[in-house]
Amino acid sequence: MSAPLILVLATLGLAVVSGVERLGRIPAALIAGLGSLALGAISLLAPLDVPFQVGGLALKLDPNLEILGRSLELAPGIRSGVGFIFVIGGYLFLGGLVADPGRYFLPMGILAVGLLAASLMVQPFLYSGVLVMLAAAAFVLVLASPDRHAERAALRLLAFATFGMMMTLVAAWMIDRLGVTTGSPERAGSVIPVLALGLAVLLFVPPFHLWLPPGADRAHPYALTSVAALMQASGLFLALRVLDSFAWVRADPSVRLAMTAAGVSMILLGGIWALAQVRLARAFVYVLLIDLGIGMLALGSGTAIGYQLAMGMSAARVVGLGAWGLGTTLLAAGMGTDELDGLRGSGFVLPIPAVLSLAGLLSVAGFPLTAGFPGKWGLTAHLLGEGSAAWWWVPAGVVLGVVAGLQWLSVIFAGAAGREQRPELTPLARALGIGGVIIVILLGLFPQVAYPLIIGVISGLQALFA
Amino acid sequence: MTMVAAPIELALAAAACVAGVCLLTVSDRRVVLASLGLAFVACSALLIGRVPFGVSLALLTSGVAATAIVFLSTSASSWPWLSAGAGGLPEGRAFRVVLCGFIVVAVVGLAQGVNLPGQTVSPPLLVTALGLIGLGALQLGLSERSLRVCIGLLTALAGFETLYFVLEPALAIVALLGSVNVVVALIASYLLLVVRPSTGTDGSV
Repeated sequence: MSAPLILVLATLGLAVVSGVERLGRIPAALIAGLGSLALGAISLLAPLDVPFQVGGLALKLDPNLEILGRSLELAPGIRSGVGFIFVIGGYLFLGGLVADPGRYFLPMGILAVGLLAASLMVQPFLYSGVLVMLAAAAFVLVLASPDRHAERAALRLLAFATFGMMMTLVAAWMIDRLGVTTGSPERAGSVIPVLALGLAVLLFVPPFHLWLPPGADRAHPYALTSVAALMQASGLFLALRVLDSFAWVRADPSVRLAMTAAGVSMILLGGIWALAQVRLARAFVYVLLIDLGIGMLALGSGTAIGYQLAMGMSAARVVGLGAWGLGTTLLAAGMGTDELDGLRGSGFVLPIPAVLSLAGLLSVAGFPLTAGFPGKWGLTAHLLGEGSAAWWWVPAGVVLGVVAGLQWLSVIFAGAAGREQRPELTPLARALGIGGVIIVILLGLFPQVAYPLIIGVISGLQALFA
Repeated sequence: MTMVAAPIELALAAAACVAGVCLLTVSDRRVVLASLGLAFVACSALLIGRVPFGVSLALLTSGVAATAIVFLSTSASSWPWLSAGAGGLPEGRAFRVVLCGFIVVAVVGLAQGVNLPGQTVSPPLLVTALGLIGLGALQLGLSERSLRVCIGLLTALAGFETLYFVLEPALAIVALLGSVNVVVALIASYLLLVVRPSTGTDGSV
């Protein structure tokens, strides 16, 4: 029995079942969330190529699946990455218990998670661009639900993903045809820009972040954060696989320089724009851009610790994104807007969603005692230790993001509430809200509990740690 | 494998480029969709003899299927092609014709300098592929309306697939890229029929 085939069929099954309208939102979200977590557990823990018994039935899971001359392979080096994508999906789909981002959020979201997981398994792995593009196509339905006209953001994402797919396919062909090695820098020099353009799309390097601002204006906040969380995680893992697989990419100092330059530009661009926004969602996407920029600095360090920190920050980002998305969904639904004037004093009206939203925002920004802080602290110390001149961009980015976050804190908890009546939260929404805040703070207080697990996700990419 | 003769090849390349220009400059629904179909037919005909026949047929099938999906969707809804542009940006036909001219000239110049390692690609095929990619990208740059973006993507994909199938005619890739064409058309259909074009001020239709 093929393990990738089980994952593919189970993903399709979950997508179909969670899309049944009669099922209701809460059962559908439970099925999608728990199902995705179960697939994550299978990817991470199932014994491969070893006979085992389930209820007296002898089984042996084959890690390969051949399709039309190409294969999906749950190889030891990437199975933790596949599991990571499914776990992120499960975490985000469980938020659908409270948030209602539209009819297609669960079925299309699961389909996209399956495609992103398959993009990590496909061999040769640079063909993953096509699967990522198909995932972006599924995300169009998540972002542009019928009641929200977020077509602009969704189609920009699709267009960028299509462009990225073309670049990675061309790069795959060039690598195959040119036979690039570390001893042929001129040949590597012609492949690297094409490959870098393909990856830049997935890592939201400007101008490929341009789907985020219109998404912040129109898309459901939870749909937007879910799409961003999944795309950035798969983009990061793909970038790390490129670095792991091609020694000539790792060896090229211009690659590290380009990553650092991209990170600095993202911090600058995000920092300037985050401070100038009058909509919470817009401010958040620019703080997210700062965080992604700091992640690029970690990749640009070119060290094993830098790669581990990039992975750890990616996981912390997912926690922050989920918290912000859920909190803002509840806050904007209660107040009827996410604009500055409408949210003034909203923290007194809806304290739990307000705190959750701010906790998510400040965590992504890297505020002390939140999930996003330890990684940024670690990166600053690491870059300082390495003698990198780029170290001070990390605290600069954190300061810019935190100032933007505190600006919104002062708005949300300023003055008197604009409404006499408090919108009621369901007990489930209250529980998930409080739980979200606790997770953000616990991961900030005790990073040593979660970080080693997260960092272990890329331990299979052995060349990075050689 | 017998390749199409040089004059026919030139005629096919010209037909594909004219179709690409029509997609940008004409507003009649039937002409636009016929041009999209023609671009795919010309591209797949150009591939005959260069790649296994099944690959050429796959491009034709997926392209025609994508065109048919868009045709049926626009029959069942509206044809939101002519809505006014946002912010007074130039969108007139003359402006588009001039831009198309620039793209075609740039592509003809670029094609002469392209040197694909270990692969000989005929100039008409290269001009067709790069021309359609350029014209599709121009469509994406000029408009953010759902239908135009999807047709721009399909145009660019037709060009890309024409070139890429010559370089890498692997069955799995042909199947995946064929499915990409159909998926883009289905998204156009979803946005037209389910979401429906908005009349918002942000230019999104």
